[in-house]
Amino acid sequence: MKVLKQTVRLIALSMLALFASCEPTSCGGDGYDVPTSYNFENASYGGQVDRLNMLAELEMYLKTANSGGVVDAVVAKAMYANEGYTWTSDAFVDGQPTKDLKSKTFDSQQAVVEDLIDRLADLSVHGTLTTSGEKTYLFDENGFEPIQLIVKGIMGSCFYFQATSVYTSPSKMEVENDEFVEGKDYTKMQHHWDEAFGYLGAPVEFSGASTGGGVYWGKYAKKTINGGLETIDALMQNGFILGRAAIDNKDDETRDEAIGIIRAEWEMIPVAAALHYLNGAIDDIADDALRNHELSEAIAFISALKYNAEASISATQVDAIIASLGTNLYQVSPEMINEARTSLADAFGITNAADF
Amino acid sequence: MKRFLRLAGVVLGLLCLSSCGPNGPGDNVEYSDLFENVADNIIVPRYAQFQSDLSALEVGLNAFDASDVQTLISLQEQFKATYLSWQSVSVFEFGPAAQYSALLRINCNSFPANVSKIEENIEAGEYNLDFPSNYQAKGLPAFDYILFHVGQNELLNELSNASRIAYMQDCLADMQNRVDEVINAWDTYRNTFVGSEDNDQNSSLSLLFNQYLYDYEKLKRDKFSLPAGFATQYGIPLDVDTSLVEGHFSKMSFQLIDANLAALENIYLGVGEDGTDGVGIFEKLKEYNAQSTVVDGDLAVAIQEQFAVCREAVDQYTNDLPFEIVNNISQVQETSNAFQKMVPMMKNDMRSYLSVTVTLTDADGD
Repeated sequence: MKVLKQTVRLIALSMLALFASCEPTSCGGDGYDVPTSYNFENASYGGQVDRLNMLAELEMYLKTANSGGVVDAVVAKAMYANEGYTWTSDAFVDGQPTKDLKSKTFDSQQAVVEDLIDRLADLSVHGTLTTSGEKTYLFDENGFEPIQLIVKGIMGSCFYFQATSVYTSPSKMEVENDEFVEGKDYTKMQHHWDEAFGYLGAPVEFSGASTGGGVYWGKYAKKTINGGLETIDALMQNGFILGRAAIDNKDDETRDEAIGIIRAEWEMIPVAAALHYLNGAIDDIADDALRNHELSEAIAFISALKYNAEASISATQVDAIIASLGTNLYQVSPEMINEARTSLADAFGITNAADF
Repeated sequence: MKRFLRLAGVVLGLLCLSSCGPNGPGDNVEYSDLFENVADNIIVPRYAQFQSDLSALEVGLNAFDASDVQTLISLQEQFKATYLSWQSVSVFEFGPAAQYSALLRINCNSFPANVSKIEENIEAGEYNLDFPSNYQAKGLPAFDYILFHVGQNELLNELSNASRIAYMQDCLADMQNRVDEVINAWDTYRNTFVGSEDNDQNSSLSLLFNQYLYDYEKLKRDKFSLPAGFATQYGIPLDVDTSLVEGHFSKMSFQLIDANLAALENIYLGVGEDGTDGVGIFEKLKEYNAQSTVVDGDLAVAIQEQFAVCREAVDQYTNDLPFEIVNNISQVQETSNAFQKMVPMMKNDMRSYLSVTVTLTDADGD
């Protein structure tokens, strides 16, 4: 798998070399223009924006438990499935969303999310809050934080899964790209590509130099920068933007290369986020609240790695890394966290894990 | 003796100033002589002393006899000596001490002690001292509690319970294993430390400076400002809580602070454990002809004098810190001001002459 990633990098580099010879800034294989932002005229990913906003409202509701509120599992599940819940955030002021998070979540994980909601609901009544300074968290008896496992879990098993596995797969890419979808100004293939991009939660102008305005993956993408990775530029320019330009110009070969880049580069976001939180947990080893919160975040991000169709790491490896943190976060040692950090970094050829 | 050394330092410094010619920041100052002196005459002998104090504590524990008050008294005295000795090594949390299997600071001295956790562990007779939940239930603060939390007679009665002695033995072994590991690792790390040339984050210069600053700031905040009610967290003032002092039960708070200050002062001056004045940070600042932005004039001397001011301020107290906080808060505030005045001298002035960056940030203010 690492070889594949190298190959993808090589292709990316050679594409850059190709760009360098084109005018004015960049062009595709057949001489077409590749813009520097995702500002495509007919881009459409409203359904993904809705889902990001739904997760935001769900997260806000779940987090009321951190200040002593009681979370009703029925309400939270209704939000997750968008069944019988009335959304209240400003994002839905013009109408209730028709999409939902649950049906787009990786099959086996839907029940996992709902079980976590039940666990959180129970803890919000019977559990005790753990505090560090101004920060308050709700953990289960083994120190795991259901809120993080739910929210970051949905980021992985829904958003990341949909983008890197579903919408970039042949079933969504071997589709109509000549005629517009009836009543729309885009082709089916263009739309599928846009939907994959929508799950990133990034503004159209997102770049390594301009990282503001992102949500969820678009927010955590910034963690790659601390480790000196150029993930954001590669993912945006050589991935989503190049791929969309390729689709616009019927250049399937370049589109497929862009898919490889998206899958390889997006993967570095959960890796960077997990390393960041593992580092934090080592620094905060003596603080139950911060350490357990950071480890819960890290575990959720590491779990996300399973949902990439071309993951550089096997599900067995992912499970082993998480297992090295033990089954009780109140009993974790700095060595255990370091072991998880080292295995994760090694799996991705990262030698500066402590910088993240 | 210390006074004399300090004076000698000033004289030496002045001699150098007049005869060595002016140097400015940016001049190429070598640090290998500083590293060598600090490693061979300060770090290694200090760890050896701490190790030998831990061994003496072990002897005291093994010799303890609940029917003989003298054995309790000598155990208590040896604990105090060990706690004072810890103060001289707490600053060296880099290299071997920073290995995850060692982490001496959190494993030896997470204070205040978690008293209920200690009792819970002793009661259960089963515990894993590696768990983070036990950091505050072991190490020197656990001894401080177990050996001093009630009067002598009651203590003798309590300690006739073998499980309390066994718990202390386990806490002691936990520290000894880690300290032994650190000392062994210094055998090889010594050359790495001394041979370091750059000023990047992993250089000896940066590691030493950052841990030095961190140790001072921890002293100022956790051992003093926090219990006195002068500290804030995320900008919110925290209430006075005298139970947060170090050495709460043995009432050693000021002695521990003074020992910690003396340990930092001697590194600054380059004074080795045998009393010989070698190359310290003082000498390096002199080479730079460093100037203070906090007080007018020579930075090397200004920091030296501020150490003297701080230590005199601490020496003035006749009771322990909790008592002084309750009964004498205005003087405590003055001492806090003296501690605070040192911070910009180290964090801004000293740091800029050494050309290193602050890597350990403490978000909590005071």
